[in-house]
Amino acid sequence: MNKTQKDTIIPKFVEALAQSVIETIKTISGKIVVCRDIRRAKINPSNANICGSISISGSLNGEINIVFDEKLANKMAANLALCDEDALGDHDGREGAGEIINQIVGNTRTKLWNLGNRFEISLPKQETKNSQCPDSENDDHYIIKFDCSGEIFYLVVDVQTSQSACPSNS
Amino acid sequence: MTFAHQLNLWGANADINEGEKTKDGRGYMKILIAEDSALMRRAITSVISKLGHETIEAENGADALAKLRKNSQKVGMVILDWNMPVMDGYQALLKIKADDDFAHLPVLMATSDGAEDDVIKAIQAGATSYLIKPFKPEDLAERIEKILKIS
Repeated sequence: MNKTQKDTIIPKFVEALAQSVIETIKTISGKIVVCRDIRRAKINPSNANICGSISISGSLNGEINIVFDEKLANKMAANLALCDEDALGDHDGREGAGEIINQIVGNTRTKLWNLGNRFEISLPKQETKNSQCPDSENDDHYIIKFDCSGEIFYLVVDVQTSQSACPSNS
Repeated sequence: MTFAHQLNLWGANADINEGEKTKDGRGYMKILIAEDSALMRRAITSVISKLGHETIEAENGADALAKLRKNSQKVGMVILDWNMPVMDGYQALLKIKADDDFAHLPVLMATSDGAEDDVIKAIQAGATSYLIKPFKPEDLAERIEKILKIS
């Protein structure tokens, strides 16, 4: 992979991810989802407390997180399970966040297949209270803000190309 | 994704329990779901129960194989997620198709990843059809109905 390809692959990946979020959440919730902002930052912008994350490896390496507040996480979980929120258990909001990020990144893998950007996907993880949500000094995070009928959630993307993830010492 | 939807391979024979009928007069069936997300299992079970069938739930491929062996005379169809712990859906599909007792069962792969290589791998391994998540309940119901109609 040459330098130009490396410079464009991550923005393309982020764009494909954003599109997958819009499509996936729309199918799950039946609501229109709008991407409000994409920026690079060091700190997780949200005080939300439900986080689903997944790792990728291959031509791209890193982690992608979806961050909901608890209310929206529960709504999404109920939509996923085709049930009322009253029927959810205590951990279903978290589990829903994990399943949703799994579906988003799986769909992104499909979108990028024809562009030659091939990567493998880990099993999703779910956490609360930001314990696994990015909050580092790494300013390569892309923070993508979405609006689902007035409710805000975020995608936090921390990925590198395989070459940049494993720099040569020579 | 378009590739998956273009596929129309409904060739397998489901093992419908004769004598037990759903409301619309068709055979009643038990469908095995292997899916690590409890929320997705609940959703799929809800769709299947509305079709008049019952489900057996498994949390991964190994669990699915164990439950298939335990219910070998009852299961008429299998739905497999791909990305699961312990044993993924593709490995479970290979084992099902390699087992003389279960090779005839129609298998629907229901997964978020529709990259062509995975779809081709699954179909070549004997999957009857492939459905991309997220799916609408009506899409899953239609896919199951099509498989049952052919079988």
